Amino acid sequence: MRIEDHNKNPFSTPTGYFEELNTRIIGATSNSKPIAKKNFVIGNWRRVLSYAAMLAIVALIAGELLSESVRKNGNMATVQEEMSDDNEFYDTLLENYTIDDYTFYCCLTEYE
Amino acid sequence: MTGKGFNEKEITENLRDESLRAAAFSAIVNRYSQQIYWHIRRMVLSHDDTNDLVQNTFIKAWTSIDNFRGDSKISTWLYRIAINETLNFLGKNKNNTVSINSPEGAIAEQLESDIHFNGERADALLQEAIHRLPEKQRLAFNMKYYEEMKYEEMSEILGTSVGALKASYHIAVKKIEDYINSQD
Repeated sequence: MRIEDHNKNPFSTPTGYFEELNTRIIGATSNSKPIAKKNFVIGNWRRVLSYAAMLAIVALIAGELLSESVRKNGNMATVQEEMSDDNEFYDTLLENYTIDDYTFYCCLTEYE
Repeated sequence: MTGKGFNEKEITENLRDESLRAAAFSAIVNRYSQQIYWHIRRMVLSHDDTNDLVQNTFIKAWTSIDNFRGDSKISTWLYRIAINETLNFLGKNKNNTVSINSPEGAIAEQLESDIHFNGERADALLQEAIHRLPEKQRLAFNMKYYEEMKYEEMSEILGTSVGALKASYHIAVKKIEDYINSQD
């Protein structure tokens, strides 16, 4: 048996179904409103601008804090560098000027 | 797909006007409810499930009417909503409805016991054969065979190329005939 030999619509509906269906659908839609599409209107620009301004201020403060911290870290590094330089200097000085027991004794007794 | 007394262009324009929108939508319901009903019915088979799905389709169309810009035909827009509703329903009810995995003859028997099915055993078997096709292939078959839709129109609704739809239809016909012959 070929497909074409079959009944093209063997299904049925209750009597008067489509009239009732249309009335029901139209009734259901008349009780609800379409969901309004969000349009981008000029009034929204004010909100966008205020958000942008807030974002810019936050970015500025964050940038300032960051640069200060970088600057501080940079200063600390310089001080540490300087301190390590100083230490080297004193070490050398102490090495060169270390007095031995004899010198120390001479100094105490003012004996040369 | 436009009939007498239904001016697609005018209706589309009226949908944009809030004061004329409700009347325009009523015209759409009156024009397309039967077409959408039969399209869904052939997919889900049960009258009660179809009844719910048709109502949901039109309510969804109404609530999202602002998204209809008139780029496509009203029927194309409605078909897309109906197909989405139907496929979601079939996906959610895979375990409760007859499917490709149902034992042979189960769908035919269920149809024969349905008070809203007037066909003979052979018609029930044809419906069973169609119902055993994958959902997308079943959609393509129903739209071409029962609704006699053009491939171009089907392509616009389903978002599939004309070539792929032609191939899908011919494969579906072959599968259905094979299934029917195996049941003789």
